[in-house]
Amino acid sequence: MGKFHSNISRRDFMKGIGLAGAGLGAAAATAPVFHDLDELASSPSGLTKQPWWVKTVDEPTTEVDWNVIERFAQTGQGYISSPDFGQHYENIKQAILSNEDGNTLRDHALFVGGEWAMFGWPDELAQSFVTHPNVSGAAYVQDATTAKAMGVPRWEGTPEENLRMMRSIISYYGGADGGAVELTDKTRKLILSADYYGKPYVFEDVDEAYETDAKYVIPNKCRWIINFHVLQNGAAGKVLQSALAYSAVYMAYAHADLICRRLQEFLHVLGYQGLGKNPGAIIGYANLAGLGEQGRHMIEISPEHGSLIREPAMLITDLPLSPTKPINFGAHKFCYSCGKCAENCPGGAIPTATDPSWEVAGAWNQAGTRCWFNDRAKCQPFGWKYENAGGCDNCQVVCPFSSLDKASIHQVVKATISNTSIFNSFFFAMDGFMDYGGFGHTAEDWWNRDLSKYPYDTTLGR
Amino acid sequence: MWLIIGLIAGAAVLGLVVWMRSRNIVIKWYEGLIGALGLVALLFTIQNFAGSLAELESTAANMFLLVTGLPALILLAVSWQLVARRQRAA
Repeated sequence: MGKFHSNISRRDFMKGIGLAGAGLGAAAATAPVFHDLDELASSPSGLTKQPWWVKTVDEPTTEVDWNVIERFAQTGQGYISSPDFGQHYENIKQAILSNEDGNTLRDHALFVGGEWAMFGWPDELAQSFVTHPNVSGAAYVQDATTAKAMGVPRWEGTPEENLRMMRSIISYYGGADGGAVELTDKTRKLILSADYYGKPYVFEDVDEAYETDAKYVIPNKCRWIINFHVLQNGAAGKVLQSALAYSAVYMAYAHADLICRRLQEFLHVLGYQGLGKNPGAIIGYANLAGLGEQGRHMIEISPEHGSLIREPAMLITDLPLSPTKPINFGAHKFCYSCGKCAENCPGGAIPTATDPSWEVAGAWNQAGTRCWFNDRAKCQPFGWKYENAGGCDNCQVVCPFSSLDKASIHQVVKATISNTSIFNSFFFAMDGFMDYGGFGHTAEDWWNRDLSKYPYDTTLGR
Repeated sequence: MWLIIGLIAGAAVLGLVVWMRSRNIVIKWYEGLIGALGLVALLFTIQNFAGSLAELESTAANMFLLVTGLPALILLAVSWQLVARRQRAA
């Protein structure tokens, strides 16, 4: 061993070790010790983590005199000053006409869309085709607040401005991203010809869309699709084929309805139509709009969200939009080498063949694309909980692109995949080696997750 | 967290450089390169370990310690030994 000189004496070194050991012992003695998960869940430290500078106290900082406090009746305390809704709407109108900052027509439309469902949700508006189908003959208060009803000019913007505006409002209402497709002779072919019950969608030269018992009528002037992502919680989904995973699916469906409804109201106030929900091939339009690429599992893969997308929801609209172009980030190509979704499909519904095909698997597929057509008859028993207690979203969760993106390696891999496919097989192997994608996770892992990393499960799916 | 890690790493590197200069220890370019690669690998390991745990992927987290953490320590050790042995020989 070479000569080594230190300024610290042996005595000081041992003293330092002793102090460090004593410190560790003291810290261990004072730290809370939990004997089981119930104890942890019920302790104060099992609750939301506060910043270090927050102190827990026994009494609130507002003084309370419990001898004075009595139970309070809300009766008659709603509108303590007499509301004049006529003046209210006149105020809104004048603010719009004077272009008051923060109170313009689109600001007002944002408000109307955002307050949707505050006072309940009429059944007939669930997933409705037009904004207010008025099936029950009800009058909607929102109709009184549209540009038309108030007698103010409707919103006019360039297609680029409109797309920017829609992306902004989609994000605010709980969606993610946003794209647009123009309906041409070609792209119209992805609009459904009929719904699940056989009611046809038809295009006519009319001003306003409408729905009868016999048909849905789309005005020819509704020439654009606006589509966006409704995200699905990835953390709960890691407990494969469980009620937790399935809750992520159906919570996202509920969010999708809410977000679409909000957008319909927003467009309605602005003076435009938003026809929903999803009257077309949503994955096809998502590909065309550049929201993502189609994967082996026949659902969308997004660069940012992977397969953790419940649906790329869409509305048909007459708001002019600047179309967005398709994207290529190597996802579809990666599917050739991967097949992890197929391996983990309990029903065997996803083809394992390396190459995609033009041949459909059944009547549930729309012919005309080269992809890995899934067998829905094999998927549905698991997806719809006939065969198990928990439902299934395996293909979404196990997809290598569905990482939660807190580890930097994912960005390195995605960037590489986007530029070259030579490492695809290696990355697929590494994905298995690292055990990504939901294996071995328990519900307890999720129930006890660090809430500071997952502070709230919003419609953003995180 | 990364602010603190950056401060610590920066202070450690600065302290090392000052200490080596006080001892007139000169490092070759390849020794510095190996050490830098080791440091980068170590920081990469820490970030991916913590990130994987945040993603609820504990197996992946442990794998990072093995797959990138161990090589990082080896690179740092190699860099240290190259310098130390050259100093001893001098």
